[in-house]
Amino acid sequence: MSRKIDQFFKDGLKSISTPYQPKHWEEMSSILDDRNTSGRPGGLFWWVAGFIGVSFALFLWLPTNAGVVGNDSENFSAHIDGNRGDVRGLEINHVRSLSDVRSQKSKSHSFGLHANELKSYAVGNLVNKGRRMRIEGFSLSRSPENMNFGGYLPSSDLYDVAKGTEVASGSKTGVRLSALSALDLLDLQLLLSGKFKSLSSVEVDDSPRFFAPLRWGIGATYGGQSFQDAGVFVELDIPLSHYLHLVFRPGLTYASLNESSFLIEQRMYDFGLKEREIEFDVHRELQWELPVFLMIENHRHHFGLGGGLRMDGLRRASKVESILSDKDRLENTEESGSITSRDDVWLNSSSQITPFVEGFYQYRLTPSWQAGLKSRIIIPSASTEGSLVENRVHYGVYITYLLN
Amino acid sequence: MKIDSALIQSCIKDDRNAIHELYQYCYARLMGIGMRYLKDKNNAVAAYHNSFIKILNGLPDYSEQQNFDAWVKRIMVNTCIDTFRKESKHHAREYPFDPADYFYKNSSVDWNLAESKLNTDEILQLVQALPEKTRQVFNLYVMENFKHLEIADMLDISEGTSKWHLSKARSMLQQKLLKVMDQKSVNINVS
Repeated sequence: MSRKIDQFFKDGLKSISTPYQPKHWEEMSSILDDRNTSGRPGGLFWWVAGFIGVSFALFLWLPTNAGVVGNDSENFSAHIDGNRGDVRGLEINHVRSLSDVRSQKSKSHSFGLHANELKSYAVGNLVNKGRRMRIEGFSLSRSPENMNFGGYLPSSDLYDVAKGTEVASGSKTGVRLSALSALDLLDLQLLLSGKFKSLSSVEVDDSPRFFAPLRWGIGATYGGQSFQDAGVFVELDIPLSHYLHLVFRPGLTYASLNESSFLIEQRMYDFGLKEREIEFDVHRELQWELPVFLMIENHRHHFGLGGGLRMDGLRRASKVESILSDKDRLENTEESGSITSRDDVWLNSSSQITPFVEGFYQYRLTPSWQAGLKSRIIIPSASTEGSLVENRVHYGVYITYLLN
Repeated sequence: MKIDSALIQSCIKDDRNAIHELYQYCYARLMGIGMRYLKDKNNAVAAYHNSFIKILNGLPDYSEQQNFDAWVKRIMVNTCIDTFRKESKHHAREYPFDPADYFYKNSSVDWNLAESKLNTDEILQLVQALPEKTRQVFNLYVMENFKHLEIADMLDISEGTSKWHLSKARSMLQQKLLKVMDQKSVNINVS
């Protein structure tokens, strides 16, 4: 039967009559005229390629050019002899704070602490009330209580340096502030809130209060069915609370179809806003999360939910509070800590239920870099008469760099 | 009319009369393909124009040792497939299904009778009524003699899916054919 029906249609369609119509040549002729005046096609491709290139250049340039402020610093050495023997050779680096550089009105100062026991670079504020000195230091650690703070940066007011502090003396050095501090300039929420000068990654308070910075970044995707799709997107992460985030990921995707023909290679390019994602991430105790996302593709709205696993490496602030005697001897030392920043690795997966089944996987490596593997598996929903079923797999990778 | 190297060279030099001559030559051979692969004549004309631009761009690389007709037909087929791919990204798929066709599911066709009763336009309409991808697979397999593996590669589907589409096309075409013949008061042998 198959041969007969094939032959029937083959014979029947051999002689399709399509009489020549001069109006079609007129259309073609005008296309040829436009082609001659506008040059070769492909201009849009180079514009988009240029945009992607510039984005990447910006993306690579930003971190390397940060951190050039705040290089006016002094180095003080206190040479305190601790009476407990656990804090010896205390060295205080006097660094003019970022906020001091930005605003001459600010009298804030920050100090660095190098102590054998802390084994890490530390910055502290000096508060002088009589002979009392407080040093706030940072060290990397992981502890259960830090989990409660959700990995967000706590903030504190800066303390003014009192006059007549006699615990330190030293010479100038060329210490630079970290790149992260300079990138604070790009934090929209900080700029809008007007609290910029009081927030940096090196400030700690006794009782950290919630502060979840609005984060934004740029990213790129690459993938597609035949690895011929590429795109750029902007990611905006709005924290609504400790546990609820709203993430927007508007993007521009470039897709090409590359078909090898008999003698020549055809290329087609497709540009357009293909994908907009809105994602709600619900976190609880940082051990698991429940993302709910809405993807708006052309003519299609997708909803989904999923679960993930998250592991955090938290940066814990250690505060050392010391009281000095009249002869610069250490009378008492207290140490406490709180969370200051987060280095995390998390895996996230989401599944879409209808009309297709889709997988969505992300892997975040650090707070600044987010690398992802995106996989969308479209499985036939039904195999009923009159329906067409289709197996397709979309896959790709994407990288986001969070700018703050 | 034959395609000779003089005409090709004139087209490469952008001689509008030569291009017009080539346009007419290709029109007769490629529009039928467009009509088979795409749903209506407007789409077929658009695909033909895209193909013709590609043909003009490819002429400098064209070797006369190769069959010109086969070359332009392949370009047209690829353009139709690309058009389908591009449009299928932005539009919901259509799954036309007429429950009335089920009436003819177990009937057989008298092929000689069918050949005598149906003209080319009616046969074309039956093919155009197939769902998009099923139509592509049917055309590629039956009219262009591609293997399922090649079709799967061209349409980004699996080989099994290609076979499924072909089977579906045959089944739907047979039912539609019987329906048309029935409407023309042709006797059907119900098995």
